[in-house]
Amino acid sequence: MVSEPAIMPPPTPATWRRFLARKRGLAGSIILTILIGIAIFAPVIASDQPIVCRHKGTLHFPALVDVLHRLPFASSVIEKSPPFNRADYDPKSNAEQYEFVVWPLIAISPTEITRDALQPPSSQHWLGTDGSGRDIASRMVHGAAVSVQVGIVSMSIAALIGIVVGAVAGYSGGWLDAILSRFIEIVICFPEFFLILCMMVWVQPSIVNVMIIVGLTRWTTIARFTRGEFIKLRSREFVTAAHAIGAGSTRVMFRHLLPNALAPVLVTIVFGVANAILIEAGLSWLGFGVQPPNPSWGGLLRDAYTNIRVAPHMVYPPCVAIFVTVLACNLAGDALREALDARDPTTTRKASEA
Amino acid sequence: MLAYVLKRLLAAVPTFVGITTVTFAVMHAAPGDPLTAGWEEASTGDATTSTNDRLLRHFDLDKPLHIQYASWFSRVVRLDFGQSFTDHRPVWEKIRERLPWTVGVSLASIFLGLCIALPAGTRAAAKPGGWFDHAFAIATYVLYSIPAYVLAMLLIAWVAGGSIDWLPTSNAYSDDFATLAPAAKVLDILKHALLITICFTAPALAFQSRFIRANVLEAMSANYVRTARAKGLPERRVIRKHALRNALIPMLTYLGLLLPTVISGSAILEVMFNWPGIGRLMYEAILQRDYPTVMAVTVIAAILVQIGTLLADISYVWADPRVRDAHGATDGI
Repeated sequence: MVSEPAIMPPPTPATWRRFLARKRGLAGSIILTILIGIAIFAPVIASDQPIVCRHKGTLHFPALVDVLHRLPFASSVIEKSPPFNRADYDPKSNAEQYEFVVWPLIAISPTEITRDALQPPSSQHWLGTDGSGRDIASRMVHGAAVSVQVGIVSMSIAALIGIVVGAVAGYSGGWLDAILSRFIEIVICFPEFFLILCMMVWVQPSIVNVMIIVGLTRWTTIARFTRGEFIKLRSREFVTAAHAIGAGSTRVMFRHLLPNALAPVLVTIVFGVANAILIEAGLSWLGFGVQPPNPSWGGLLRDAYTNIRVAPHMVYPPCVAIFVTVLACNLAGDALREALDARDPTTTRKASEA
Repeated sequence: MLAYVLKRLLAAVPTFVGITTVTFAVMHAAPGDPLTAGWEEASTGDATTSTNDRLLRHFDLDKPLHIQYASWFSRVVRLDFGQSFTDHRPVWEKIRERLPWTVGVSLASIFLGLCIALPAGTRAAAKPGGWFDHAFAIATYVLYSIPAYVLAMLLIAWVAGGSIDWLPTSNAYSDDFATLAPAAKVLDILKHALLITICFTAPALAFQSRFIRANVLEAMSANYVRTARAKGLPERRVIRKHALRNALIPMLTYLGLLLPTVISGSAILEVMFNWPGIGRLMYEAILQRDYPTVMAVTVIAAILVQIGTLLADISYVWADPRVRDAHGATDGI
C-alpha cells in the first residue's frame, strides 16, 4: 500500500511554457495581468486630474504623479507641480486655461459627488451612478486596486508565516512539530470569517488591517502543504548530502528543501489570492473593511444592496468583477498545478478534476 | 481502533483549551466594553459612576482576567454561556432560538445539493470525455467561481428589482405569520427560505458534484466493477449498485466536515437575507460588543469543527480497513 510519495519538481522555465500553453493558464493570466494593470494605473484610467496638460507654457503630469504616489514614501520624494499640488485646486473648472490637455478615460474622481444619483448607465456615466451620485465606473477601477492590493499583500503575509511554520514543523519533527501542528489545528478550528470579525472589533476597520488580518488567518493551508512536502523530502538523498557537506539546518531548509517543496505551495497561494479578495469584499460589505467614501468592490456591492429596488443595475459591475477575478485565479491555479506536475498527463488531469 | 479514537480525543484537549483561550483573549483585548457599546440606550448617557460599578460587578468585569476566564470556562462545559449584555436573556436561549433557522437551511441545502450532485456526478463519470462530462466540467467550474454572496446579490436584484414580487427576499416569515393557517405557514416559510437555500447550495454543489464524479470514476476502474461487468450485468446496474455505493464511502468524511457549517451558517448570507440564524446573531453581537454571545457562538463553532474533523477521521478509518491498518504509519495533522 505504501508507495513512494509523489513529488512535484521545482518550477523551471519549461513549467511557465507549459503553463501558458494551456488555455486555462493563458486566459487566467491575461485576465489577472489586465486586472493588475488597472490596479496600478487606476489614477490614469479614472481620475479628475489630467494625464498630461500644458499650463502657462509648462507640461504637467498630475495623474501620473498620483500613480507614483501609491508607492510607499513616494509622496515625500516626488510632488505634483504647482498649481496641481494645491488641495483646493480643481483641474476641471480650470480646464479652459490649459493650452493642451489629455484627460483620463473616465474623467471623474471615484469620490466626487454629483447631483445625478442612482442614474442608469449612460454616455456620461458608463456604469451609472450610486446613491450619492458618484460615478460607478470610476469607483470600480479604484476598487480593483484595493482588491489586487489585498490579494497580493495578504497572501504575501500568509505565505511568509505559512512557509516558515510549515518548514520548521516538517523539518524538525518531534515535539516542535507536535506543538506547531496543534497550533495550526487551533487556528483552523475557528470559522475564518468569525475570527476575522472578532479581530475587526479589536482593530479599526481599514484596508491595511484587512490585509494584515486576512494574512494572519489564511496561512494554515500553506503551512500544512509545506509541512507535508518537507516530511516527504527530508529523508531524501540530496538532504543527507547537504548535511554531509556541512550545511546548517537553516540552509538545508531554505536552500535545499524549500525550492523542491515550493510547487504545491505556489498553487495554494494562487487559490488563496482569490479567497483573500473574496474575504475583503465580504468584510467591506458588512462594513468592517474599506470605509466609505473610499471605493471597494464590497462597498459597491453594499451600495447596490441598499438601493436594490430603485437601481438594480448597480449590482452587476461588482458582481461581474468579483466573479471574473475569482474565475481567473481558479483558472491560473489549475493550469499552474497541471504545468508543475510534469508526470503522466492522464493522472494530472484526473488529479486536477478531483 | 479504540486506541486510535482515544489518541485523537486526547490530542483534541490542548486544541480545545487553545480555542477557548484565543476566543477569550481576542474579545477582551477589544477596546470598548458593554458599558460603552450595548448599554448606551439602556443607560441613556446619564449613567452615574455607581451604575457603571454595579454593571461591572454584575458581569465580573472588575475581576482579573484569569478569574473571569476560569469562571467562564467552567460554565461553558455546562453549556451555561451566561446572560447577554444587550438584553439580559441567557445566551444559550438566544442561540437555541436561532439554531433551527440555520440548521434547517443548511440541511435543506445539503439535501438539495446531493439530489443534484449525485445523478450529475455519476452521469459525468459514466462516460468520461463525453458531451455531458464536458458540459459538467464547465458548469461546475463556473459554479465554483461564483461566491455565494455574489449569487445572493444577483438573485435579490432579479427578484426585488424585477417583477417577481411574490418571492420575499428578507426575513424568514411574513408579518402576518401568526394569523396564517398551518399549511399556509409552511408555504410561507418555504417561500422565504427558497433564495437563501439556493445560495447555500450553489458553492457546495460544484464541490460535491466533482467529488462524486472523481470517486465514481475511481471506483469504475476497481476490480469489483470489472467483475460485475464480466458477469454480464447491465452498465446501469454496474454503476448504481457497485460503483456508486463504494464511491459514497468518502462522502462520510465530507459530511463530517460539513457539521460546523450546518450550525454556524454564513454571517454574510444571513445578513443579506435578513435571516434570523446564528450567523446574523454573531454579526449583531459583534456590533454590540456582546461578549458572552460572541464567545459562545465562536466556541460552539470551533468545537464543532473539531468534532467534525474527528468524526470524519474516525468514520474514514472505520469505513476503510486499509486506512485502519495503516493509520499508525501516517499521522496527519
